[in-house]
Amino acid sequence: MSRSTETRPAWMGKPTPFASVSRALGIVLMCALVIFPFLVVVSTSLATQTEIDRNGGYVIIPTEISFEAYRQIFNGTQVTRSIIISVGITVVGTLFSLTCTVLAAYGLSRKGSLFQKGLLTFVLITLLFGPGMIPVYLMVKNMGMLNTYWALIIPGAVSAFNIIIIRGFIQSIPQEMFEAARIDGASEWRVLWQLVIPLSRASIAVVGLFLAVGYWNNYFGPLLYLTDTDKWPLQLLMRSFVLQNNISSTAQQIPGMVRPPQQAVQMAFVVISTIPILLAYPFLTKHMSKGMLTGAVKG
Amino acid sequence: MAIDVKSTAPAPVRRLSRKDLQSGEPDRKVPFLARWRRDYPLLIMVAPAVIVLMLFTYIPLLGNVIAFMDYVPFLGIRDSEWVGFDNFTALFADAGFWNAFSNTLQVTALQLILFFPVPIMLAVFLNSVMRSGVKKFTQSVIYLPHFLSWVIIVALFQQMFGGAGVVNRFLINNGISPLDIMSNPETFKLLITFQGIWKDAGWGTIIFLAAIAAIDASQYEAAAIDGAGSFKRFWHVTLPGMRPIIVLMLILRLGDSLTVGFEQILLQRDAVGPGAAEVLDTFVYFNGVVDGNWGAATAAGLLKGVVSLVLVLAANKFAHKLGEDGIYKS
Amino acid sequence: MTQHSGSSFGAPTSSIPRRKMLKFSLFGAVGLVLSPAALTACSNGSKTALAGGQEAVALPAFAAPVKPTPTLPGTSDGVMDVYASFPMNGPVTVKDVVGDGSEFEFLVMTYGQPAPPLEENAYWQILNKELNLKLKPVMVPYADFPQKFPAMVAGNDLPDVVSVPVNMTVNRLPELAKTQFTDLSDFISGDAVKKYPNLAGIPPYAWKNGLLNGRMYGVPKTDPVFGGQMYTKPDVFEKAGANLTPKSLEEFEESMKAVTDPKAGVYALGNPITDFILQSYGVQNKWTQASDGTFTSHFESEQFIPAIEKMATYYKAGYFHPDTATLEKTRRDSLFRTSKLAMTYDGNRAFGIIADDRNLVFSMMPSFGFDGTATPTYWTGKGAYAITMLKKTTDEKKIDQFLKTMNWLCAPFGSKESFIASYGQEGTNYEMRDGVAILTERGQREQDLGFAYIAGGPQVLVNPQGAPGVDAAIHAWQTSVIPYLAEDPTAHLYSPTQNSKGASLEQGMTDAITAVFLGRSSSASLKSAVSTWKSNGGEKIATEFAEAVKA
Repeated sequence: MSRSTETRPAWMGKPTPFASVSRALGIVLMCALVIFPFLVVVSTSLATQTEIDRNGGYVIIPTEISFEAYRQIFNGTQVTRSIIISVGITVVGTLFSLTCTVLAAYGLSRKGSLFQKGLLTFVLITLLFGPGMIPVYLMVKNMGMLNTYWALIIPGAVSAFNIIIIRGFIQSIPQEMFEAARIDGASEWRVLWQLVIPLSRASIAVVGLFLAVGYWNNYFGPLLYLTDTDKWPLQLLMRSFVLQNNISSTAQQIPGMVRPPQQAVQMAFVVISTIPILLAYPFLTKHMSKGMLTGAVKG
Repeated sequence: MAIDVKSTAPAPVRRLSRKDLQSGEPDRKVPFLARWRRDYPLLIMVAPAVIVLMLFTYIPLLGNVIAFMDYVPFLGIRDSEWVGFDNFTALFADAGFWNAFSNTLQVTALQLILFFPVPIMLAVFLNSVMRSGVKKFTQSVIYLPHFLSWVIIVALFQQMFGGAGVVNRFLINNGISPLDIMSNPETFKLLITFQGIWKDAGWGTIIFLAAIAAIDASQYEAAAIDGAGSFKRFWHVTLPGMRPIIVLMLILRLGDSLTVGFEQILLQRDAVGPGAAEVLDTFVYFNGVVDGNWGAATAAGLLKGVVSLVLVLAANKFAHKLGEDGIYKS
Repeated sequence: MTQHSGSSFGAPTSSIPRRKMLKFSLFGAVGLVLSPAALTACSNGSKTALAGGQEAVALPAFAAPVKPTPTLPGTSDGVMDVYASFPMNGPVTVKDVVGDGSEFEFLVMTYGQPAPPLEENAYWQILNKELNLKLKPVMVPYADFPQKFPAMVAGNDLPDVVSVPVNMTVNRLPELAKTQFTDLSDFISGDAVKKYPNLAGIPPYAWKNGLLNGRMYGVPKTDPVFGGQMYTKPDVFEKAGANLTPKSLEEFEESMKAVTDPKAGVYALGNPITDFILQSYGVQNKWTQASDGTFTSHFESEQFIPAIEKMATYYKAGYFHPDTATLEKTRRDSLFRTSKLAMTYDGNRAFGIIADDRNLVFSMMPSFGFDGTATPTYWTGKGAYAITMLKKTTDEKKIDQFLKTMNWLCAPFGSKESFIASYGQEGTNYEMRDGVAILTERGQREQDLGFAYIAGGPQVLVNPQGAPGVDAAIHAWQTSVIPYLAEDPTAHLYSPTQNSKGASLEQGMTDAITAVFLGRSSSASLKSAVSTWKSNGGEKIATEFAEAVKA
């Protein structure tokens, strides 16, 4: 079955060679636009300071490869430990959050169910009004979560945005399928497990990625809630590296601990913090293959 | 409501007449107890989310009363001074606030027109790529810029398009007058919109790819049998299939109308000045956070919430007119 | 556009610096005695007035510590002592054991990575051993200080010891100190400080920063008196045949014109130089106090608008890097290092960054009057980088231990204690080369503990790894600007309006100046900016300063 669909009305029917060529060109251009800056980041992380200076901050292709930046970063256990912490927070946080989100999304998906309207409103309001930093901090403190990883996982675990997205996907599943299942006597839990989750795999995977990236990139939570620097995740360490040097200066005097700016080290940090996310992507695409619904309906 | 949900979970009673209680049945005719028996598992499912939201959103939301206070952290809410609507009137009286408000709306409008459709078109385009290797590669490449921080992106843009950047150096050396790309107040909003597209359009496709993946493939089959060409199939199958999610995303984006690229704008604001670049979040940063004026910052947050509420309700209503559920339908 | 998960915090977070910074030359030292005004205002035993009628307590009595003989001696005006290297085997100034083995948790603002953990950190270990304490830093990155600090205050989570940079606006600091921190007056004011001899070596101008509500709350980390300075790259000037030491704005402009070469990507400057030009016009440091006690801001001085106009003409002429408005410090420093910028206007410790680099030759531009004959001013800083306070306690043993720890940290340059604080452990943190201690990469890294930045006496110039003659050049430059020193008369006065609105008021002025500088607005717009500034709070601030002095 052909599923090739065109973007432009003028090219109805079979793709012409011109269409194929422009499509290929489009892809190449798109990739180049995106890959170029990454090439710069990776190259700079592998360049020497002299070469970086000579080029005014960034290097496109280094003439001499140096792993000095990576050596410096992995010297000692600090960064390695922070990566492990980040992975831990991301995995546990994503699982916890995704569980709450999927359950709530299904729980709120059936129109006319008991309290559905009220609960949905309850959730939606949080989309519009957010609490301030200090009250949340005080709550985290009162729950005894200060300086623990729970403070990074639980307070932000439920977002109305994610619930609404998954709920939207669940609602696009044809009603007849639910009715068929219920007539068969399936409990709501079974419907969720055997019908809803398999059919919304793509959206759950997407929201899972949103969540994972959110946990992975969160530096502000750790900053606020963790007093032990030993507990700092990678993003907070990286922030202290990448951003700390960017201080505009005039007459004010502050003795800092800033050594000569180490552009290479900053870029190496960027590379290191992006790799785990790249590794996560194939898991996602696996769940985004098309035609899932066909099988489900027929089966 | 939250208490009902979590504390009451009686032993399941035999579902007597589930068939009679299916979705077609108007609910008000169903007695409460029967609905309870039918729906309590759903309530249990919602419970964890409700508890988390209660603890970490709703209770802390009470702290927003500081919008009516001159809040001082070491005094706490109890001992800080009540100032009534002073924080709000001060905002309304400040020309800078209205300038920021207007800039924010302009940026949002630009983003809705120029940015919002891009991930959708990209998703459709990617989906039309047949070779799965190419497709996978492209997919995983275009979402990369999302992970670069704005500090780095702005620096790279300067390096390329800044007054002494690669492009302008080339122009100067060839006797052509340089282009003012990075510091032109007239085009600043376009600039940040395009930067936003570059950074996040690829990332934004993910959700629409999922929407395409969720379309029943047999519909394409049926359409093809009816002799529909590829465009017809796009128009009659793909687009309607994506529509609920597109509408959903649009409403959610509208709900976020007053929030536009804080860090991105803060980093580039000085090049064009607050007249063109101040948005609500940067305004609140300079007039609330930096000064430690938490009451004013919270007041601005509440205002944003109210405006968002209005926009979301309006958009939702409009969605209903289009025959979509939107995010909320009673 | 769709990323939306993880955390849900109300306030926007920022990566943006409130302010400026520099590097250090971190050694506590001797010699440096107060600038003239500071001397007269508060030498030993003098009283400083404060709002509310009652008199302020006496500042801790100053007793100049014994110092090793410098290569180039400083002066009592503020020129720093120069040493070729850190003297080895210095005297022990603290004989008793400082701590009782308990935990010493301190909050410190940082500009870099957090220090490696204790078990891998020889520097931390040796400090713990020397002090018989368990040091435990709570680090707050500078960019996040405005958010983290209030949260900790609201949650009553401040650690025992809190170090606050003096240029960070802490909401209602005097009141905060009164309710949260220990009044140290009875222990260090006047002659009481003699119990802690190294603290007595901190000059009064630095102590002034620790005086809140007329009582002593904080122990300072002393700063040199110098503020911003114009760093120059002699190689660029030489190549262009430009004058490194212009005597007027006209000559300064000629130099800028000569060094600028857009085709080669070389520009004279990469940041606005408002303060530098104002100083050439002889404008007083931020505020001027008239004989009747009233205060006037430099924004209101008659030279203010002409100075900004001048700067705008320079921008228009193309002497500034085109991205000046948004150039980050990292990139600007990089451009300066590689001679793409001929000058950079930076804080007094910027040389710390480059003074370490043997291959980098730089110099500094002496002050000059705008027309070649007028007397310029040179604006000094606040005299301290940070003050360190102790959480409220009445436990005298605890107070004593805190002050003993500060006393250890304030040991004068050349002493064994200051050597350990600066260099740590031999072999791991530093190596001996030709009799000179050189920090290793690990040694530099472990200094990120931040402990050495919470308190200290006067600093000295010692850059054994820098380009030859760099310290002598700095010394000569410092000597040259001494006649023009101008103090900010409000540096140690408290104004509630300044505290609650100062930052946004100043942002408004910065925005207005930038607009004129970049040619977006006419200089006439500055007039209305100043009157807005005045009516929105500037006037009130002036009144409050006047009251603070009078009371």
